[in-house]
Amino acid sequence: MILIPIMMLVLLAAVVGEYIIPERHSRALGAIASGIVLLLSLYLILAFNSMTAVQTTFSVSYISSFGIDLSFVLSNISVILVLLASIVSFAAVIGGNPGGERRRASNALIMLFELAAIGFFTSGNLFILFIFWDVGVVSAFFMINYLGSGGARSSAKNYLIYSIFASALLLFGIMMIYFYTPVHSFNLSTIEASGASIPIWVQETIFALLLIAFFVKMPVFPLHSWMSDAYSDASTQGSMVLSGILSKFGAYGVFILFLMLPISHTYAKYILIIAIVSALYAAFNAMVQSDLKRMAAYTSMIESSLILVGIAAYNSFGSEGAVYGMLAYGLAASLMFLSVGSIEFTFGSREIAAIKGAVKSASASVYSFLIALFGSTGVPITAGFIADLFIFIGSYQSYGFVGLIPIASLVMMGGYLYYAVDRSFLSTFKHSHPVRIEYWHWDMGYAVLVAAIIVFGILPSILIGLR
Amino acid sequence: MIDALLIAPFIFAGVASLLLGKRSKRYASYLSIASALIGTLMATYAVISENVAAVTRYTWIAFGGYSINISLTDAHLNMLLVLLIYIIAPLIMFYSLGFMDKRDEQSRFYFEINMFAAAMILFAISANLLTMIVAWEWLGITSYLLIGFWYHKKRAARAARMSITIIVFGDIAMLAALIVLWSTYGSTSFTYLLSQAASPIISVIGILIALAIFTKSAQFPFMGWLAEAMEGPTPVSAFLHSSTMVKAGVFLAIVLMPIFYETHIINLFLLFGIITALIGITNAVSAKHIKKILAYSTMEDLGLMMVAVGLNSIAAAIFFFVVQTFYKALLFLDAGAVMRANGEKESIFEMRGSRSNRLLFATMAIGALSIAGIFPFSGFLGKIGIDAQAATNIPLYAILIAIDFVSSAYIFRWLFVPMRQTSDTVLIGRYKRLPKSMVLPGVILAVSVFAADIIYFKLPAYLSIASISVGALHAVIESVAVALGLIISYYVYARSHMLKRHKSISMLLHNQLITEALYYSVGSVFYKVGYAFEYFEIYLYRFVKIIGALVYEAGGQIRRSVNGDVNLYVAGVAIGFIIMLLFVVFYL
Amino acid sequence: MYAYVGYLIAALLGLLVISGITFKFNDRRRLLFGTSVTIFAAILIISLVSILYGVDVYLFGLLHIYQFSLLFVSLFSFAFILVEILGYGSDNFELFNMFVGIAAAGVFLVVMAYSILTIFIAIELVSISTIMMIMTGGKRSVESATKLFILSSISISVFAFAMVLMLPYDGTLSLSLLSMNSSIGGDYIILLSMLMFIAALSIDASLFPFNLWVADVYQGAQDYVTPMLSGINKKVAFVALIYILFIVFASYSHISSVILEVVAVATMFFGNLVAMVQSNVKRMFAYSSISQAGYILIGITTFSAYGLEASVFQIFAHVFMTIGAFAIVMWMESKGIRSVDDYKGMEHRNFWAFSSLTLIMLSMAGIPPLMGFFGKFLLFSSAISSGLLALAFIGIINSFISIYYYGKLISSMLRDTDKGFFYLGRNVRIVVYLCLIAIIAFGVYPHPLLSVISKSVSSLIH
Repeated sequence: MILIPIMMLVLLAAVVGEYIIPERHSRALGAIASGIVLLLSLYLILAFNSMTAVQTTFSVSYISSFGIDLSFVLSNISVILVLLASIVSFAAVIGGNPGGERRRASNALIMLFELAAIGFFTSGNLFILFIFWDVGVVSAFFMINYLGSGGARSSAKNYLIYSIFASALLLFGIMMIYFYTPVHSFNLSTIEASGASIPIWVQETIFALLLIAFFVKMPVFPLHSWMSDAYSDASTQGSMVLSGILSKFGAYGVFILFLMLPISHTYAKYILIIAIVSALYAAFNAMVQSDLKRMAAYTSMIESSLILVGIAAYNSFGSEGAVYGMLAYGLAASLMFLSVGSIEFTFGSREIAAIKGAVKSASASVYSFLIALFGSTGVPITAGFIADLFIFIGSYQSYGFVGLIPIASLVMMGGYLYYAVDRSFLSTFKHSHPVRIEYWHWDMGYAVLVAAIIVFGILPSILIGLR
Repeated sequence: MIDALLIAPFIFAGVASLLLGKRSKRYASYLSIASALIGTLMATYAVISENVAAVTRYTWIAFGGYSINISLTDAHLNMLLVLLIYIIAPLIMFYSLGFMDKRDEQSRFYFEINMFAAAMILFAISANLLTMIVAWEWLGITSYLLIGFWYHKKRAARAARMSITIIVFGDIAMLAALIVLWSTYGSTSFTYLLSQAASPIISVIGILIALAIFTKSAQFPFMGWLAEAMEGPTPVSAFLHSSTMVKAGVFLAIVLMPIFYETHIINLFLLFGIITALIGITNAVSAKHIKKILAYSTMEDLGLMMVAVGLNSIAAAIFFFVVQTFYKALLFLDAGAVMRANGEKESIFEMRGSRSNRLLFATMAIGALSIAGIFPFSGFLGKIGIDAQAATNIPLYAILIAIDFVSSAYIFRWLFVPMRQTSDTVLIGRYKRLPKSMVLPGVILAVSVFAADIIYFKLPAYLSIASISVGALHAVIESVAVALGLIISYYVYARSHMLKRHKSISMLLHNQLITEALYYSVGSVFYKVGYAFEYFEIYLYRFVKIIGALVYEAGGQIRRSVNGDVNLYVAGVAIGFIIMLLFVVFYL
Repeated sequence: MYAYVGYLIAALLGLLVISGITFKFNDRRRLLFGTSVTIFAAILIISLVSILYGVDVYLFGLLHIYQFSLLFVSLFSFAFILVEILGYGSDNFELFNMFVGIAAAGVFLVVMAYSILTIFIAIELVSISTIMMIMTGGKRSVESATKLFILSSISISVFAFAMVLMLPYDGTLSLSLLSMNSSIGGDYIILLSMLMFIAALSIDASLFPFNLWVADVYQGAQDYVTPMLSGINKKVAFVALIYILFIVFASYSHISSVILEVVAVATMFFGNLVAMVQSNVKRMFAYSSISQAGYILIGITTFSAYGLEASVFQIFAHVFMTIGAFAIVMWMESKGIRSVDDYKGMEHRNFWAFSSLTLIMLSMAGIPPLMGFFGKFLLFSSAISSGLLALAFIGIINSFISIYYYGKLISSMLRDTDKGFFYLGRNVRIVVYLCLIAIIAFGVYPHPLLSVISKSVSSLIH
């Protein structure tokens, strides 16, 4: 599939271009580049079912002494995730930087991150996968550190330390896979085929290492300490990208881990337990936050845990649900962060107590927040519903009523989010006054994300049942 | 195909209203009325044509050999509900023409209420649980938006939040039921579900669905949101409490009654129905808010419907279901008109002179007579049906008669207190000048209250269910109880104007506060756990920090030992070499 | 016919030394600079071409010119070009150029050595000229020079003693497998000799605990000498270590491997932990380069062709990274920007300096797709492939620790400041530019370099 490298080249050109063209055209360039990528990824989705195996693979020799090919494979999972990445990035470029501060860096970093995400999700071998993983990690670090606010420095430091720790373990695991696979290969398809012949103890070690790495990224309890700070201190576009795309790196990783190592399924039930604990833990933590962005952060952690529930179900429904969940929750989380970020921009604060009556002066943001809320709690005709349905059908089929426990976190999510809406946007006890005017680019960002959430909620058949 | 078309008018009107936006002026309401009337014609046709019940399936998601369907039915029971919605909807829209006179709210209001109605229609025609859950959750969401429509009122926002919090709970219970059902049987169709024999799985599904029903139909202990929901605009209250939303739960209970019967969950309905009805009447007696009295009355009605379900009597439940629609819509619309005339005051004790507008007062009286259950108003039919079913169970029968008595008393209190004479010419003038659109729907509904009597003769045949034979004895007992209530109320409130409040009793009676305290304590338990988790979170964070600090400290210690002294460096070389040497010596 | 290549290189070296010494007394810096760079470039081109043609000649029984040595000749000639460019701006460039010529001769002799004796003499040549170079830096440098002198003399004497110990066993002292003289029993003496070689070279290669001098000397040396110390002198010691351990003591690899493992672990931890707490950026990079030495050692400990490839690759990577980093850092230092806090707002003040230093640091931390990542990848995977899982894991953990201090500096550079534009010298820019090209190019597409390295390594390990 030549389109994948083309997408990446477009983005790379845009990253470089950001520093060449005058700064005032920065957003236009970003919008054009990510718009092209969005259109291409839409085309990929629509054309995917009619593609042959040859058409979905792109491979050139890269480092022949290790048998590493620069190979990109479009699977039915990755095509959805590429779509997610391109939608979220597009929305982040056009709506995510209200103040227009550090425009160049902002757009260039989003583009770089999108490039990494597309590469990560489509890479056909682990080496390439790791490269894009780290590029994503580092560009997200800059997004937090450079564009963030508040305690962004220390949050970024925490984020970086956790992430690089994850990367280190991931790298180690990848190298172990390479050397313990009988044919010495990084190729995903080869490893999937010969995964069973890796000795059990090696499989267990690799499984543990990679799982920790991916859990850090998702994030899942107890490896999430970086999350709330990083998500809330990052700039709007940074948190959109972090919650919408980067956390899906981890989820996708767990996914391929399950594909690669046959040992995984024996541990699936423990992963389910972690996911349950994580979902409830995040829900309880979310409800006591006084900062809307932190609340959104913990909400996205619940969503990550639900995706993990789907993966742990280890059956077709669970997997499909997890993939759909990555899309649906990714869109919902980034919409939530976009609206919260815009509200913060308008009111100069994101404390729940300080943005009273926001619906009056920033109604578009508030309604977008509500739609993000609906998307997160899985109201029908938002994509979240399909995800919830599939995830829990899967986990019920595998684990019976235990698999339905995390559904409680959805109730709590609804409870505290509506409470927060009541206390902040709707409350009229004392009006907060906007310190800045609304900003028309947001509405376009909202429109893109809302449209995506609703279209994929009404017409799931576009994405479900891709070969 | 017609079943799918039934949603179209509302969707069309809703989307059009949204797109009209600020330019909507009155077009949004004209459009809504027109499309609702078209819907009425369609619904009437659907009922009259008496087509054979057919299920239409649309594949929504096809996945791995399974297909998840949206399926719609035009069974008679469903068409009946559709017709009810479509009778009430144009009246509500028409009423809103006068009621929602603020320009800037029009577009949003008509969008939300049309979407709400569309969700209810989808609910009414759904033939499987999946379709139903889509409608069910959208009912919740749209009702949230409608109850909180005047979000600038603090209490409206709070009421909206309260209702949605409870309703989300029910939604998720429903989702769980759906998942269990689908995973077990691979189908969510009601007909399929009803054909299953009782089993533990069916019981679980039944319990989960019953939970959802309880939240939506405001049964104990989820009844708290109902009265608070009165903060919404009056047309919304009228719509919510008559044909939609709260009726959704009852309707689902009626549809799935055989399942509940087989799994004995039906007893839960009976128990909680009675509790809810009792809570409803005690509050209604003590409440002062003109709409809240009606809301508590709805609570009582819902309780009674659940009792009917609990008695496994489809006919009684459906009779009450239908007749309640008309009189409750009527009363709410009139209450809104009275409030408007009194300058949006809320307490009945601050209101006067409702007699000044004869037409309005006549419809109010008809509504009150019907709700009390006086022959020949259709409310009588509803009540007597349930009473007759409970006749074999003397304590239950006694309770029901007592409920009839009290409900008669409080509804006449509701009628008589605002009726008091006034000499305020401004007030009288306001009554006289009430918009026609706020009065006329009441007239149509008042007629309907009479007309609804025909269901006794037509409905059993239409739905092919056994009718209820009402003994004369039951009619007499019920009539006496109701008359007693009327007389007492007349003497207390209309004649002697005994308006003194007995605080101690009213606290006991007005137990809404206790309900809220209960919710608050449940919520605060969750929050306490949340704070505990937050502490844990902080300690987890610190734990990681400490590890980092230890590593850092190790680095610091080593650095301090490298102090620039060249002797040390040479010593380092020597020591390193000696250690290597020793190692080799011991290694070999 | 290939022998002429050897003569050519030898001749060029001689020319270098002579021109350096002759032109010292000339005032025409440009000519001086031009001559030196031309000679280095010529050596670079010759060696690259020779690698392609698979040259393999012995000269005088002292030099062995073949792919492996030519590989390093090309690397170091490139590095010397960078150092020349850096030094061009300095006040006493003439003197510097002379010492560079002498040092270069030493360096090339080490990598082309076919005799331990050659190594001995050449290393001495390198050390002495480096010390002299530092000595010219004025008062501040004298202390560094003295420290380096003391440690170097210890190194040299230990090296000499090691040679003496093994002379009875192996009369030739040539770089070929130790031919045991069976008339003398027991191999304790041989082992002692090996340990002494390791110790002696560890001082130059800055392996723990022989490396405590590093930060002091790096800090005290002039801004054009430190890159050379870290980029060339240290790497030369590694080459010598490789020759001695891989060729001469190949049959004792099971012992030296264990020793080096421990040393590698200690070096990595020492470098990283101390770098972590440094607030002076120059010292931080000094310790970071120590930890890099630890990584390089990982490949050597495996005693496999793969491991050696990895180490050589990392040596290449680190030469580019460390010269680039020190070029910037030393320039900053000379402008009074010393501590991590002083770097505040560098992004704003000079975006180019910020981005190149960031890229170099990310490469050092092992972030793909930069060269440092691929080097580390090779190193750790070579350890895994030899079954040294624990070593690889410790390496990876260390690489994780290192992100802390690199991140700290990056973070500091991103902070806001109100200070204005900051000028970066042209020669620094050129050097950093060249280094960055190498880092990115070989990071994104390491295949060509890797194939050359593996060819060369297979010429060392037959």
